[in-house]
Amino acid sequence: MSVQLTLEDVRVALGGNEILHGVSLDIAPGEFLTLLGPSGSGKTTTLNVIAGLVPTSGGHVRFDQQPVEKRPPHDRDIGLVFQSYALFPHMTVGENVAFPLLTRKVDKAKRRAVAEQMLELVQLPGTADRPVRSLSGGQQQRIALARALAPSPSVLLLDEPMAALDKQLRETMQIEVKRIQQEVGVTTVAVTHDQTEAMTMSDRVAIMRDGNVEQIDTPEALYRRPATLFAARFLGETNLVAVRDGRLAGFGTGVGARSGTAVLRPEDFALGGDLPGSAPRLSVRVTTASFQGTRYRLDVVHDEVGAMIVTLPASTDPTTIAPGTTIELALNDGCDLHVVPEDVESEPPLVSADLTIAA
Amino acid sequence: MNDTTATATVPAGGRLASPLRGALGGNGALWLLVPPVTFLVLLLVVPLGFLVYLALQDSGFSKALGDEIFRASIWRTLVLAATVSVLTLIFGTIYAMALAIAPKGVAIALLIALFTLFWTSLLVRTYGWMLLYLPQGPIYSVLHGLGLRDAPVEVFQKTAAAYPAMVHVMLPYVVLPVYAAIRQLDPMHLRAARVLGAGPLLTLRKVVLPQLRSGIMAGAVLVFVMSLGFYVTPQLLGSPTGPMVASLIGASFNTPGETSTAAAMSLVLLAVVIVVYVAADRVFKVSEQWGR
Repeated sequence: MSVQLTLEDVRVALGGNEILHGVSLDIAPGEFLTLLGPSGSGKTTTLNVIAGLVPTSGGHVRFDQQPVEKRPPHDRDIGLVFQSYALFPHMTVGENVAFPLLTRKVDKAKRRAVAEQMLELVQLPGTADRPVRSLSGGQQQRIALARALAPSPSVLLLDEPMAALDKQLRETMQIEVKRIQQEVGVTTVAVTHDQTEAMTMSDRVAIMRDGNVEQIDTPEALYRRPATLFAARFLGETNLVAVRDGRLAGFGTGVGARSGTAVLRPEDFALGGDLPGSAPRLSVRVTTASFQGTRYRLDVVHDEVGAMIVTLPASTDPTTIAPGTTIELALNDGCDLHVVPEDVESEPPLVSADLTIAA
Repeated sequence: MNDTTATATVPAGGRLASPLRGALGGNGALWLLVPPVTFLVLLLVVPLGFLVYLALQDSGFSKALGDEIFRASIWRTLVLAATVSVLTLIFGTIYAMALAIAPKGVAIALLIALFTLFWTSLLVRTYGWMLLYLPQGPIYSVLHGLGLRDAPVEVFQKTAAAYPAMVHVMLPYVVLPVYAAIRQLDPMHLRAARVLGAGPLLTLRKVVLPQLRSGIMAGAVLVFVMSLGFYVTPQLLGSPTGPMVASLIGASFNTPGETSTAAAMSLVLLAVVIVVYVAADRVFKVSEQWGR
């Protein structure tokens, strides 16, 4: 029941505008892939193409090598969880979950049995006869998931599945969705603009931008080795430091690449005194320092590099990093710098509005 | 869907009402109730009381209920009202759906047709049907022209003749609430049904129609209640030997010495309407639909 899902140079044009410029994805059976990107990047369109809700103007969508782009949605054997859940208000929980089985002409006793089994899976047993409206947002989401999974679909699609939930519930549900997906083993594609959500749930994440796939990889690889400045800025907090003539600006150390931009994560730094003298280092002035339980988060400024974000262990002596003081920062792992072959200035910083909505 | 709209509108109305009440001098503003209460007492309570008074003279109730013609007409009227409601419900729902899915130009034409129907005088429309029904009228001309019929059509002043005209008259009362219900459908539900494997027919049957149910029923009950007391159309088009209740009441009032029987008949009809409405409201929650 889990299929290999392939998108091959998929193009979508709406009203004369091309909004997907040849998206290719190869998703292994049972894999959980998340499409991550700002609004307008084409991630929802890509999901709708897989669902058959948006017609393609070119390319192929294949389930286990079989092209499906000509098939209508109800003929594709997919489960889709909508952002608004779209549960049918006039049906009970059980009728909602059993609806896809009804459309597949499964008999009543079997429908009931599968619905019970699905409600068990999403940890809402015994709710089959309750009206949908009597359930909370989180419960409705579980029901929507149960309904999508009831016919054992080839592909499970999740459209911003957590958008309607509050933050705390969202974290619980991310882990819950991941558990259920692994238990069922269905090939899954999710869409989100929340990077934490993407990293928590997915085996791989595809970062999308302006109708193209910018980079696709595991969350770890995307975080540690972003291919582009866009990917580096989009996933996690980052300090982008220019590399000129083979040297890292501010630090002066030699790096492997001639030019480009080094991606330094806040946790790549330590206080200079804690590391051997060979580690690359520079002096910065602390602007703000805030204690965040597991760590200190510092905003620092360097004349040449500019503003940076640094995190230090919670055990750091607060007096040494008070705002206004000058501290020496060293790189934890100086030799393993990741350099993107793009100039820092070549691209304006990401507008973060889209991300703050998600947080 | 209806529940949520109902609960959403109640507090909104409350917030609006209380400052208004304060501005007009708290409970001292009860004088505002004087016009509607006067209106109700003068035009509803007093005539009804008078009707009861009339009916109690000359044992009107026993005469009315003992009259076989009256009992037959009650039954005939119930059959007419029920048939007309069911037909109007079917055609009205189809019309409303056509209205909702038609391209803009066609939808506007359909709306104009509907409102022309709504705003044309009942009498004019009924006379239109009379012309249509004439023994050698348009129906005959068409059938004759097609070589299907030589003898004149004899539908005028038959009981069945009232049915199409009644459905025609009542159509807007079903179309409008059903159209309103269609506009409130969540398009995501239709998408969800498609993705979950439902073809168009199953989607209509299991997702769309159940959500239109209260709108359809509100319209059908209104049509039923109105049909029970309908006078002009059945009187002019229907069979003179098989009158509806309203015609019979009219005739009795004009017969000297039958006033108390006519009054009693009116009250029996009123009782039937109330019973039907309360029962329908219990089953279909009709007042909720009209109350929003």
